[in-house]
Amino acid sequence: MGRNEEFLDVAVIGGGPAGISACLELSRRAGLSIALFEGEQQLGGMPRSCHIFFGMRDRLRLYTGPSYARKLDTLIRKTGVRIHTGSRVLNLLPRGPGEAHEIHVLSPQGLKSFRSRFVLLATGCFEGSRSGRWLPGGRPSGIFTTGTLQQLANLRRVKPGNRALIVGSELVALSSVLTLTRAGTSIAGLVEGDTALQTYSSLATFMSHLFGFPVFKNAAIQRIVGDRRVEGIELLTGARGETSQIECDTVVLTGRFRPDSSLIDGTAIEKDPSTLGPAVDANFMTSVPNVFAAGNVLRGADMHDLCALEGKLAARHILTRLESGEAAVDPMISLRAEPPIRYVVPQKIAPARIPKRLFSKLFPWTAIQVEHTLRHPVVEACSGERRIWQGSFLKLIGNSRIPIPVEKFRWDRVDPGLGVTLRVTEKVL
Amino acid sequence: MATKADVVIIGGGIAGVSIARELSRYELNVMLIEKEADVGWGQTKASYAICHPGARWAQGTLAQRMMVESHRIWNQLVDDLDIELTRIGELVLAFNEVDLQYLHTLKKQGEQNELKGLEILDRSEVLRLEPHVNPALLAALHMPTAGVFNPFELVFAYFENARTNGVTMLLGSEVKTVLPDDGGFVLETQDKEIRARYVVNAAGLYAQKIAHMAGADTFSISHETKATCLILDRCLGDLIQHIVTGVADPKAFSRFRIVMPTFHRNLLLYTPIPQPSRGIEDREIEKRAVDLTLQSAKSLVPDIDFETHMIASFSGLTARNSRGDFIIEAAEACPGFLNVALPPPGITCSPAIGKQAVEILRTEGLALVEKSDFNPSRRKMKRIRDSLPADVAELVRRDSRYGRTVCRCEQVSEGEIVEAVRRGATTLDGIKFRTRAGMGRCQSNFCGPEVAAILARELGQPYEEVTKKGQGSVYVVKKNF
Repeated sequence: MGRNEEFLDVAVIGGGPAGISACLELSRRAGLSIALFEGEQQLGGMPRSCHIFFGMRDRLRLYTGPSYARKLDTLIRKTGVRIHTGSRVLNLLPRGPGEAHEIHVLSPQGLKSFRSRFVLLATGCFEGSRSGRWLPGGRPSGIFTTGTLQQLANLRRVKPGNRALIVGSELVALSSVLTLTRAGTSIAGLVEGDTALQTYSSLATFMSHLFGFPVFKNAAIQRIVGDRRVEGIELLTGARGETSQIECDTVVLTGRFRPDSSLIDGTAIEKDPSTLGPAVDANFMTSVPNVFAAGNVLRGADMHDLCALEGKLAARHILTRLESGEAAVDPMISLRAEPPIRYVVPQKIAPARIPKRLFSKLFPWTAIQVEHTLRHPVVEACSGERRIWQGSFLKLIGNSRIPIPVEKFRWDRVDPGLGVTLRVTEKVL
Repeated sequence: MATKADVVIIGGGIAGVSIARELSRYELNVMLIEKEADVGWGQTKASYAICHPGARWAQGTLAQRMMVESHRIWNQLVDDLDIELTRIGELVLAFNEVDLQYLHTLKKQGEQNELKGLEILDRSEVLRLEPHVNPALLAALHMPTAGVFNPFELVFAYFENARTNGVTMLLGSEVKTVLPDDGGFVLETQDKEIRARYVVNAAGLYAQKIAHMAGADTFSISHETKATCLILDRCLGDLIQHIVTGVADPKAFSRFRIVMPTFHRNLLLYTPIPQPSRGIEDREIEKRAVDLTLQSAKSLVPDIDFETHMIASFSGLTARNSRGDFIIEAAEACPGFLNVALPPPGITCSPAIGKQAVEILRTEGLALVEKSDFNPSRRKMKRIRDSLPADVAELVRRDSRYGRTVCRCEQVSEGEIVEAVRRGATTLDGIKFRTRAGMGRCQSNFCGPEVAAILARELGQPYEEVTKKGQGSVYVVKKNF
């Protein structure tokens, strides 16, 4: 492909909040050749098909999803970034030190190869499929994820079904309540396997009253009924496991996000087996020098504005490396987590560079997620046998972002060879 | 006014389409009737798609004879129909002396069945070939000619070539009655009456029901075995290189079990589980079956994280007939009626099954005159994912829709989806099985709505009439709320 090859300083893969924000930051430096690759025809990513509460932390005002996406689109078109929409990156071939990385891009104009000194992966995430959730029963039509539901209802103005059961209770489940209601689909109920809802439970309760649907906690789907189209659900509820039947023609699977990280499969870029996304250090750099990753490709869905800020930070680190040369790397300490902590991101941290912020809880760069809701837990960070931090919480909500105040860690007590392990125990009251 | 045909084949599974293709060599009016909206949606779809080397089938059975004959034909057929087959070899693992004895029996039987290169490997050799298998093993039988098919592709290959050579395909038509009449048969579907001189009953799970309609049920079909397949993410695909199987030992409660890479290098876990099913239509995935399949797979390959990487699961019933062997025979009581009832391995034996069925029809009096213009060849679809850069460039230059990716996980382009419709897909599943759009790790999370839009456009159908798998399976209920 030598003939059809183009050289770049930075290639950004993914035109959602993280990718666009990174481009905006990079474009402040004059003279760089930057290209943004987006597989869809439009820029903006997930917010395009979502509704309200966008832009608060990164743009400091309130947008709807589509207007937020349009705003990012307008801003990036004022820069010199070369925008390739409808262009799918098929392969990423990371190269050794001093060499430009290679990417292959397919678009209706053909197959093109790019060489770039820096690559930023901002390919986002998707929701776990039905099989990934081990849901038994038939394989009928009418089972959607929230992402699919939003595409159908919000972008295509299609009514997916007449009566839907929502599975999961993360924030995105409440978003699908709004989407379904808007499309004219009635809601048969919301099912959560955990004993606690995985979002603001008062908001969920309010919505269940407002729209008149039951919430089933500590409930499991025993069987999806139907062979052609969903006919109903057999639900197992309560401690004694009573079976009840719920009539519906649609099932919406929400949450259980995982990174869309297929570009790193089979490459030297290290994958964290607990996030299934690329492992990064505190500068958002992966195990391969000059390949960065930011946003939801790191761990599954988080708020879009945090993704945008991560993209911006990653871009700043790219600029720093461009200016200061690539040799200057701060010593990094690796972070690990033990169950029921599902993961910790980033996976490496430079103690010397931890920023002191006034509102560190609003901008949490180090965060964990736990597998299920824990009451009165104690989180501790240890390096070998030495405890370097401990924090008590009233409640840790499962499947949600939990910031960890790494600035409070006793980094002087850390053995760099052992790194830091995060554990959680539930206090017995 | 009744439609007329020389031969009607009932059932568009692997048996039906392979017989259709074989009959299409001759000057005959052949019609294939399938109740589903597409071919291969019964047992064939839920197959693990192994090209069995054939050591497991004993001499004296029809299955063994068909197996040996098929292996003489396969290589030619793979060329003619552009079939996707990779011969990756099978390793049968032995964990105790009884298993080991079985390996020796299997090896001997395989050699009698003309298999080449069979070898019993010791523990260290096996672990060198497959570092992830259970190190508790004693030895393994290596059968190098075992292969993996793309199961859907294989059915479509027969189907497309048969259609090219003039076979009429009546899809989405269920045969309601078959009555012997005036030296032939009258068949009724929901909207058609067909007169046929010969009928081939290749209805799989429903073969007994169809045979009964014509008074030709000399066997019964049981569907007490339900198999569950778990498909794992492609990122695990290179961890296992061979078809890895275990020895079934009823006394030790061990089941026949498989861990293998599929043709597309997803890992596939398979275990058949005897259980009373919910009936002949039961294709439900059961929690217990998933657990048992995982557990069985772990006994072969203990150290791979299957659970995290499960992307699809499906179950299907296996039709076993009362004779425990292939049935390909003319029904004595009903002249002109041919019963075909195949327990596994129907796919592996399909080349010979087609020929066998045609030979029986010949002895039953069907005049077979070879067509002068029979076209034996069929080419598979062009795929972006499997093409070399130069070929991708050429595809996109000729049709820019090949440059528009629709399914990101499997890198399927709009061009491929349009081509799938041209080749006969009328449903979302039809497109999925032809192109793999939606078979990747997100399971059509992203591409579903767009695939439906392309399908609607190509069929000239409203969006809300698009179905997943034919009648009653609409994708959405209303456009423009």
